[in-house]
Amino acid sequence: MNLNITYLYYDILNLYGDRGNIIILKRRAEARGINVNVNYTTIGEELAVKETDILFMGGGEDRSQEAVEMDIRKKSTIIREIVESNRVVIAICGSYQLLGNYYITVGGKEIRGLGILDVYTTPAEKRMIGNIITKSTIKGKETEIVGFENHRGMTFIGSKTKPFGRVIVGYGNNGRDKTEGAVYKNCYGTYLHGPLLSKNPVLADMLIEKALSTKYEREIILNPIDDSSELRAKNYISTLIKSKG
Amino acid sequence: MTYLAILLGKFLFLLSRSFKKGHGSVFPGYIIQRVFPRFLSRFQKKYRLKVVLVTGTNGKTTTTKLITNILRENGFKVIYNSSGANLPRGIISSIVKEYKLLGQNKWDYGVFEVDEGHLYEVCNALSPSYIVFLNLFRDQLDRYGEIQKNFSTFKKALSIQGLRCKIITNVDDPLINYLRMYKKSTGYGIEDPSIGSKKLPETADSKFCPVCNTRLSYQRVFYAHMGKYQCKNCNYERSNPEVKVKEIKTFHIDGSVFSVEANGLSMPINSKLPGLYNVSNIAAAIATVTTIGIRLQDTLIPINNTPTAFGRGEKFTYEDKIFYLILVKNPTGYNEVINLLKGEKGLNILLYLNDNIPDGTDVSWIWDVNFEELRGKIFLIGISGTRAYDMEVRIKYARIDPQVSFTELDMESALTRFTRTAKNRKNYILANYSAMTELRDKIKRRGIMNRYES
Repeated sequence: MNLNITYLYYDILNLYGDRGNIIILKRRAEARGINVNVNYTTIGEELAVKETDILFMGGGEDRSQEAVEMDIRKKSTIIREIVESNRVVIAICGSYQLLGNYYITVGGKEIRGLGILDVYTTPAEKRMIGNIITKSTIKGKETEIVGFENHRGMTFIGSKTKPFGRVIVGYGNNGRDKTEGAVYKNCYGTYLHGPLLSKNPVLADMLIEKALSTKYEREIILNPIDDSSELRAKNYISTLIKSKG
Repeated sequence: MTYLAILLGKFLFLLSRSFKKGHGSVFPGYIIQRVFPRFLSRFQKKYRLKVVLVTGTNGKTTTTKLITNILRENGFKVIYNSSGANLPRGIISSIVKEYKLLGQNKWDYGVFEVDEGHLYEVCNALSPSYIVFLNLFRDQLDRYGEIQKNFSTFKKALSIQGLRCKIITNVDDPLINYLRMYKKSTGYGIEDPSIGSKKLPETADSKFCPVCNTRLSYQRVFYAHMGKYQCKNCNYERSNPEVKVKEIKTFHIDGSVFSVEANGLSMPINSKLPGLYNVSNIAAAIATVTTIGIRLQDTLIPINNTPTAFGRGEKFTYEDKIFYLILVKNPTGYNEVINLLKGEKGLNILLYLNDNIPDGTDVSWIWDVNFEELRGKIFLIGISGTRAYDMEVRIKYARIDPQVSFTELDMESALTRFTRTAKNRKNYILANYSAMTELRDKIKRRGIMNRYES
């Protein structure tokens, strides 16, 4: 089997070790004998649907986000096609905001998003920073997800999109409604850095399985591998955060 | 008033020592700042101190040390924040520490490293004659926000009304180079065509033009986003530096050999400081003191003699083996250290990762470090610190495949195990900030190892 991952704006939207997610997806797929090809694509370069089973985008500084704004609009139709054809999309922080309907910058400027996720974002008074625990249903099981969030934008979810997780400890989308992230088809938006997949191996595998199942048009389930390091790191930080409240 | 404040500070030092509140390097400064908010400006006036501030993400401590040593060697009396405590309260504490209650207090220069986020505050309290701007990298993002925020703080500080100072700027950093429009400046930079590559690393931080936000074109990349760049849209480009680094013959863990050109003169240097980043820091120090008026040739001896600052490649011995203690607190610094180590085979390394307040509580940045470069080159790897388990995951995915490995949360037992297991003549301990300072204390207090005199 082959898996094609596209890391869009790899050189611009790559804050807080987000690139780690690519390293993790690649390694976990390769450990199952799957050939992985990573396409690094940036401003002014073509984004090919056929070569994208997983589309990944990270977070960036405000200035970086502004720099990709024009370009991502040109790629809007293609990204929509990727989402509608059930391919997997993972958008962290800044790129999560870009996939929404619009976001308002700290300076008060309204920036139109791609409208793929039915969410909008407005600036909060204070940055929301810290370790975060959420709960999501992953492969039919209620699963804890841990990460680190650092965002000023408050994101609110509309009717066409579901939240990705429920906040146990931390702020989540907006610090108010206990939701975190958003999901539409296989397109995931989230505020979780950490990087996201480093301590959530079950989530990483689910994303690979969904991508391969779409590609090969049959249900693909990965065989288990040794996740003891990942789970130990996850349990350690999860216990610590909960004990601190 | 100044004297009263210092008396209070001295008393607080005694107090903090008797309560064993660490080595109490910032606590007295914190209280003085509260009780005597104008302490720093009064102190500067009273002692007619000419102030040099050193700021930037990486290299502050070493550059401050270099400038201090050069000034002292040339007969000036200097007070500086030797402990590396670089918030206003840390600067105050170091002044209190240096002050002699009995005896003469006389200084010509105050050389202080300043945290990037606090430059504006410090420029309001002290009137600097010179500010040295080293670089801006991503660092502890959960605390300081983004690079652009620090850049704005720099611009805001340089826009303070009545601030009359000269600035020293690293022209290799496109953001720092931009600051030259604010004040009369001396630029320094690398001018050796054999250094660097053509391609920016994936995680380079500032790739966009500070004027028009277009992506910069790099003719040469020295490391991270340091290099020779140009904006094809608005023609913003790297300035021609006044102080030039040339003929870099070698740079490694024990030092570097290169030459520096300033005012038409050239001088060969043989430094004990590790890595290319310190070559750049030496150029910064030379640019600063030559701007002050010291002759290039009078900088040579103190530069060649300056040892590594504490925890920046400092050497200790244990049973005839050498252990290097190296501070690694952000991706750029870490990657530069890995560049220094990757030439060796069968490496023995111990990694500490803490997530205490001084380190930043977000440890995601370890995924921006290219541990993959160490693949197949490691014999022994030990992992410790409050976030040791996160580091273990990172190392696992880097597929380093060491022969021997261990993870221990407890810092001291990890150190003991490492010093006993490590077999090489040279062994490396890489630690982020709070881990480095704590380790250094442990090493000193317990006499686990001896300081290495080279």
